[in-house]
Amino acid sequence: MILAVPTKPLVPLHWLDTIVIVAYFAAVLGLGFLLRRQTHTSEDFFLAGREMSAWVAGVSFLAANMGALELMGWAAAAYQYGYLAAHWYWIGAVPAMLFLALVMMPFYYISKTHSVPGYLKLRFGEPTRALSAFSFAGMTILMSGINMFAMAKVMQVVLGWNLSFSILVSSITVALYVTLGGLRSAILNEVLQFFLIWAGALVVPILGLIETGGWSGMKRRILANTAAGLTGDSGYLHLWTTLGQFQTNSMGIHWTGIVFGLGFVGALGYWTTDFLVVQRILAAKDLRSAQMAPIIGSWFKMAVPFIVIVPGLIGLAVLPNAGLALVSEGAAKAGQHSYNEVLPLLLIRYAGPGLLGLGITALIAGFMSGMAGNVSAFSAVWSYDIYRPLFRPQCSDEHLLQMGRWSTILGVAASVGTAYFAMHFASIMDYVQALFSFFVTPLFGTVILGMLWKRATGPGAFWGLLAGTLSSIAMWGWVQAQPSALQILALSHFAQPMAESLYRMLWSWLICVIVTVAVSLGTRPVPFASLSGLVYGCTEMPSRGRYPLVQQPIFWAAAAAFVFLWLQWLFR
Amino acid sequence: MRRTFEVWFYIGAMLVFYGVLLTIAGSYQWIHPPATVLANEHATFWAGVILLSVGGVYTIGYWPKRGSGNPHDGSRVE
Repeated sequence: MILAVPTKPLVPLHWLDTIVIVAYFAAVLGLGFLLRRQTHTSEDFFLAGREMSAWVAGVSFLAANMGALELMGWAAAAYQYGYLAAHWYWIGAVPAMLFLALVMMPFYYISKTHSVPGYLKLRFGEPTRALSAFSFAGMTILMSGINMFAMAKVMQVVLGWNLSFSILVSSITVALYVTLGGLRSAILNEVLQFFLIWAGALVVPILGLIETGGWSGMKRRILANTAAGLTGDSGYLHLWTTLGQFQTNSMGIHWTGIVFGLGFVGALGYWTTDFLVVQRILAAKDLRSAQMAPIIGSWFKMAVPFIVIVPGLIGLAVLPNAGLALVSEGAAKAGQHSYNEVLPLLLIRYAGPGLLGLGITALIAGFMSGMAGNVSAFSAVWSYDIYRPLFRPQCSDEHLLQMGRWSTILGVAASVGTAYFAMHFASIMDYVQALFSFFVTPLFGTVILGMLWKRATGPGAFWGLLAGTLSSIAMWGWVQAQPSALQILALSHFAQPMAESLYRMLWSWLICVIVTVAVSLGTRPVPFASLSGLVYGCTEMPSRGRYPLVQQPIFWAAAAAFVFLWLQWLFR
Repeated sequence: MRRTFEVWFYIGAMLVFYGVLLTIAGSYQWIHPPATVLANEHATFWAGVILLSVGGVYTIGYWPKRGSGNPHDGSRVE
């Protein structure tokens, strides 16, 4: 492995920036080191002792999601597609977070499960748990790898660091602090990283809006650049009104894909069944905290476009006039920059020594929080849902704790391998969307039927999940082998690749649900008495407690839903 | 008895450190502006002041006290 062989950086790093970045690494390692003394049992390691407050769990819930795609990828998408990229933050997250809080969280919490596959074991039995655990473990390693690769790519572009050097530094840091303190260390570091992400990332939108003369000035500049042929079309400044037909928007997508593919299946799948985020909520100290955590996360999620989407729009407004019209990754020639570089280019434009270091620290913090989230979730699922039930059913708690530490290290090592695998994909976005459609959306079909339909059976869940996963992989392979198949899957000749992934999610979920229902109806029903605490209608829901209205989850969820709808109308 | 602190204190101290660094750097850049767009807005200095203020509130508000700490709050660091 070649270490620290520099390529030409976008900007030479000042010593002040180096101090800021080194201080960040020292802080996350220091916190992991301090927390090592608080990890005595497997529950401490995998669920942080189940004693997190709503705020800590909520911030961590969101920070774990702020990985590779959040900062770099969606700023690039905003440059490429305009307002449409904000759908992944609003309809692609907020309703699902509120649904998790109000409908699904009570079942996860009452069942006292350690993981999502653990819930499936209680509800459907060992085969469904094993299938979901293996597919989830594989997905987290692949996702962690893409985080590493994306971070290394940024360091290469901005600082000229060698890819392998960046991967090595980030992976060793994450492995150390998660191995030392387990989920508690991952969560508390995610809270720290959350603050630093905001501190560093606010630089670009604030200074960008000052330069362009505010929001209306920014829009005027984008429209002027559009008229001059420097950027795409005026539809960039609409969230919904261009989605009536596939050919009237830059994404080549229809509103049904956004609402049903992204908002319903994709978002609910990710936010309610991906254990990477659900694990943070399971660490909450009581049910009310567990319900409030995703609601708190939803408020922050609605604000994230300010540090992610707005920079992409500012890039559209100011970069073409500076001779920096960006192109897609594959089309970039020598001296040209790709969409993915919009955020680093703007950071360099506005941030002097010290402030640039803080901006780069925000990017690193985002990548590391995503990576640590994946690794800690992998460790829990491997230890609780694969190793113990399949290899050492009688193992002691101390043994399981040791397995958690070792699987963290092995998970990071495997992620390094997948980081090199991810380099061979033309688009990071395609890679991630493909993984979600393979593993997350069918799983949502299984979990939601398990929670809401008493008649769903173990064989139904197993075959439904398997059919959903295999059909999604088959659809992806079909389009790879025959690109024209995209038109069949997305139901339009004008559909673009982004539409294909959303419709693939929808079809794979439907296949999972149809197979689950059909097989369940053909198999012996489970006695309803055994479903208490697992299924709606068989479970006595816990009392909401004697809290005033303003302290109840339903109040803040309703307020978040109102603001969400207002944002849709405002940017329509 | 071991002294404990909450993660909010740790975050506050981190922000104070960055705030001091950026305020000093920003003061220098006020006299020797960097070659960036809007250097006249002195973003580094103001970012330093804001980080110092926010970090100061968290550091003072969550200053560690011997033997204190809510036993049910997972944000505690021992």
